[in-house]
Amino acid sequence: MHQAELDDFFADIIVELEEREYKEHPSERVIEDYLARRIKDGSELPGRDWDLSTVSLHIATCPECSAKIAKLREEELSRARAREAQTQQAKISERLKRFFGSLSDRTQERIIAWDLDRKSTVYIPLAYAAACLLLFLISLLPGPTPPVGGGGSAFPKRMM
Amino acid sequence: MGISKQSLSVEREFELLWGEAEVVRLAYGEHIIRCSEQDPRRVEGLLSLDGEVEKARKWMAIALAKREKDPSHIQGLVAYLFSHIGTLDKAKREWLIRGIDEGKVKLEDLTYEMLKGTHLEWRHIFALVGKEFNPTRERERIKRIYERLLGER
Repeated sequence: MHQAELDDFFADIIVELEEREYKEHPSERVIEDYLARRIKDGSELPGRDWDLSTVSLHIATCPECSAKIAKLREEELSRARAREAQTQQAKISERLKRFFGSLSDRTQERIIAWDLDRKSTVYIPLAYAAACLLLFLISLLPGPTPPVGGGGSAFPKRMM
Repeated sequence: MGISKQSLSVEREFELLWGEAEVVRLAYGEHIIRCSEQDPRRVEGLLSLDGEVEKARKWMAIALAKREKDPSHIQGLVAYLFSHIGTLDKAKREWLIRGIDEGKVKLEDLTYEMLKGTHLEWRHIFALVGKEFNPTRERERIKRIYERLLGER
């Protein structure tokens, strides 16, 4: 079932609350606890009579607190993404290690020797050749077209 | 049904909200997602503070549907509806979906603010509920209860 199908019955009760200004805001600690889902129904919180619903509906309607929590969420996401990338890298490295370990000693030696050999005999000369080719191609590029006439057309004059 | 400690605190909490019926109704929606086993008729007055009796009855129908059977289906349905409020907030959506996929977020942790703008898909809701259900059937069930409530008046 799609949202559109649900709308006809629920549209007037599932509504977006308007933003408003508040004199009092939940503390940084309360916002952090809320984000970490440490606040439960019935939790006793410092300050005003904050509770899970009052914190939630305050943040949802307060631009200031909403911006604060959005920033905290972004930071949490960045940390999670970094952890994920590290884990992924470690997994790949582990798989490669296992694969390498599963090879016979002779094959391992050959791969190491081939790799060293490739570095000195293939990659370095190849990089040198690529740099030379690039310089040669740059030298073939035409120079800038001299201006034709005084303030005339930008297109070059047809050569007769 | 006797007055439980939980139902008292819920009523007190609603009174502490800004005294606006719309906010009170959405707070009640949050409670439907998280808990609230109390009789919805107890909060009928609070839900219709602004005279919007039909809106109050719709929320009551949702709460009664939850009490009747398959509470997790109704909790999931309300969570889905809340998630489609407002424009898409990509960062919040990623934050919430990561939490769901990693099993860190439970239905009882969710709030209006956490869900709003996340535009969850049904698969995320099913992951939260722990099983698949037919949302259309649940919607129809709520509608039937709502019509029954209208007939009672």
